[in-house]
Amino acid sequence: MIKSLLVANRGEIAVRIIRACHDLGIRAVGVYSKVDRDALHVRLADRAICIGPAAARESYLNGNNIISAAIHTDCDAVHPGVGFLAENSEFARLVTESGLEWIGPAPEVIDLLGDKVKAKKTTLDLGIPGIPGAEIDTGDPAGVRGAVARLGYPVIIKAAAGGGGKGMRIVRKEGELENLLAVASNEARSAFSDGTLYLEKYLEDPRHVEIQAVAIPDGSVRLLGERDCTVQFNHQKLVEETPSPGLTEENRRSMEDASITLLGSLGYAGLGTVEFLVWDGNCYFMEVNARLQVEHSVTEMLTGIDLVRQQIIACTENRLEVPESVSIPDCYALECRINATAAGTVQQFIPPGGFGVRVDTHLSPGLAVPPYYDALVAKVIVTGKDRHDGIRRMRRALDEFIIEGLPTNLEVQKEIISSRIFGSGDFGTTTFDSMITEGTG
Amino acid sequence: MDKNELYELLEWFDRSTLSEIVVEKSDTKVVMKKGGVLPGGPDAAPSAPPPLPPAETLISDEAPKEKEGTELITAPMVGTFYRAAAADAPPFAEAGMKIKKGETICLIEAMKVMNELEAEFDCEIIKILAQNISLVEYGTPLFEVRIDD
Repeated sequence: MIKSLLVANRGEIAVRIIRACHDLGIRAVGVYSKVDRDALHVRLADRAICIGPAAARESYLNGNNIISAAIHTDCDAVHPGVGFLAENSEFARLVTESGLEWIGPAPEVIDLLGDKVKAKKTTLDLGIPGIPGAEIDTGDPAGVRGAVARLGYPVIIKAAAGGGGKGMRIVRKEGELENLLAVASNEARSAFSDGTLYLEKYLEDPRHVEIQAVAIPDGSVRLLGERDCTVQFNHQKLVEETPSPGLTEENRRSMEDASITLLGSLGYAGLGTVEFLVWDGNCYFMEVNARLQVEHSVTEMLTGIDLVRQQIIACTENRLEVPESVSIPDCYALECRINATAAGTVQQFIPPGGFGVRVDTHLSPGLAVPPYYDALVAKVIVTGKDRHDGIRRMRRALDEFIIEGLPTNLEVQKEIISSRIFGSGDFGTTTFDSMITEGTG
Repeated sequence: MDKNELYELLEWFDRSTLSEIVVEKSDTKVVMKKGGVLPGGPDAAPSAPPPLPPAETLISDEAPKEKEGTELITAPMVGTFYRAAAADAPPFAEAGMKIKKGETICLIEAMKVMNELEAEFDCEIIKILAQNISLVEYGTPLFEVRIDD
C-alpha cells in the first residue's frame, strides 16, 4: 500500500478523499489556494501546502505547483478528485513522469475518451450504439434528405467543428429543414470558419443514466449498478438516484454489457462512469467520465462499498477488492446536491442526520464560501427500502437542514423532491428546467 | 558532501540526543546545533549550511508581518528555496545588501527547473526569512526588504 497521497482538489470532494486515505492508513497531503486557508480539507489533511492565489488557473489548475508539493512532501500518488485537473491527460502524464502514481486511467485512455470523434468511433467498432447521426453536405440536398429519412424527425443540426450551442438547430418537421439548414450553416461558418454540419437524431427530453464501474488494466471490470441523473437544470445534475425509475431489465443489461466491453477493451484503470441517454426504450452511449464523480456517494449508500478506496487500490495495487458479481441490495438511494447560489459566510449550520442519512460537506459555521470555485457545498444522501420510502426520508432530511448566511438552492431541492412529477418517476433531462425559476438553480 | 548525504545526516542528528555535532569531510565542514537559532549572515552560506529543523516545521504558520517601511518578498511558486547558485557560490542576497531591480535574489527549484527570482524594485535586504534548501509554498515570506526611493 502507498504511504502518502496528495489530494489535488478542494471542497467536499477533497474532504471525502482525505477521509478515505485515513481509513486506509495513508497519509494525506492537501493543497489550497490563499482563500482556502481555513478550509476543512486543509484542517483534515496531515500536511497542507499553499499552491497559489484565489484564481483556480494559478492554484488548483497549476500542475507544476501541485506536483512540486507532492514531491517535496514525499507523496507516492496524486488523486485529482473531480473537476479541475481530473480529466487532464497532460497533468496525468506529468504526474507519472515525475515518478508519482496517478489515481485514474492512463493518460492515453483519458485522451481517447476525451476526443468525441475518436470515442464515438471506438464504441461503434465495439458494437456499442451511440446517438445515430451523419455528417452532411449542404450542397447536396438529396443526400441531406436521405440522411433525415434514415434518422426520422426530430433531428438536431450541429456544427461539426463546434460546441457551446453555436450552429445548433432542432428540426421537427419537413417544412423547417431547408430554412434551418441555411441558418445553422451560416452560424457555423461565422463562429468556427467552417460551415460543415452534423445531423443527429434528436432525443427529446431523454433520461440520463450512468453505469458505475471499477477496473484494472488487464481488462477486469466490476460493475456497481446504475445512477439515474435525469433531474437537471441547464444540463447540470441536481438529483441522483439508484436504481433508475425508468429502465427496463433489457436496458440495464445492454448498458452493463456495453460498459464491460468498452472499459475492458481500453485496459481502463480505476473508477469510471459510462453515461447513456435513454429515449423511447433505447439506450445510446454518450461518454465516459474517466474519474471519480460527485454522485459516487449514491452508489456507496446503496452498496456499502467505499468507492474511493476501490479507486486507490485499483490504481496503486492493480487489484480489485470487489467480487466478480457484486450483489446490489434491493433497496434505494437518493442524493440532492446543495449548491451555493452566491458567495457568503455560513452562520448557523445544522446538517440533517439520523437513520439512513449521510451528508458530505465542507461547510461549518464561520466558513466564508468564496465566489471563485464550484457551487457545490453539500450533498445529502439518503437510503430507503424503496423509492417512496427514500423520497420521504429525503424530505425529512432537507426539512432538518439549516444553512444561514449562505444562499443555497435548498428550497428548490425541497420543491423538486416533493413534486408530483418527481414522485411519478416519469420525466426527462429538461423537465425541471421550466419548474426551476431563474436565479435559484 | 551531496544534498542527500546532508539530509540523511540531518535526520539522524534530529533523532539523536546530541545537542551539537561537527562533521568534516574532504573540503566540507558541517556544524549542527539544536535549540538555538543561528544568526543569518556569512555562516549561513551554503559551504557551511545552518542546521535545518525537520522539514515539517520549516514553514511557520504565523507569517511575519510587514513592519513600518518594509516589504515582504514572498515565494511565487511551490519549490525548494536556494540562496545561492551552487554549494560553493556566495548567496545572491545577504542582510544589509543593496539589490537593484532585476537582480536575482534567490532560486526556487520546481519540477527539476531552477527558477530565478528577481527583485521587482531597488531595495535593501533587511532579513532573510526562509531557510536555505527548504520547501517554500506559494506566499511563503522569503525576504524582508526596505524599498529604495
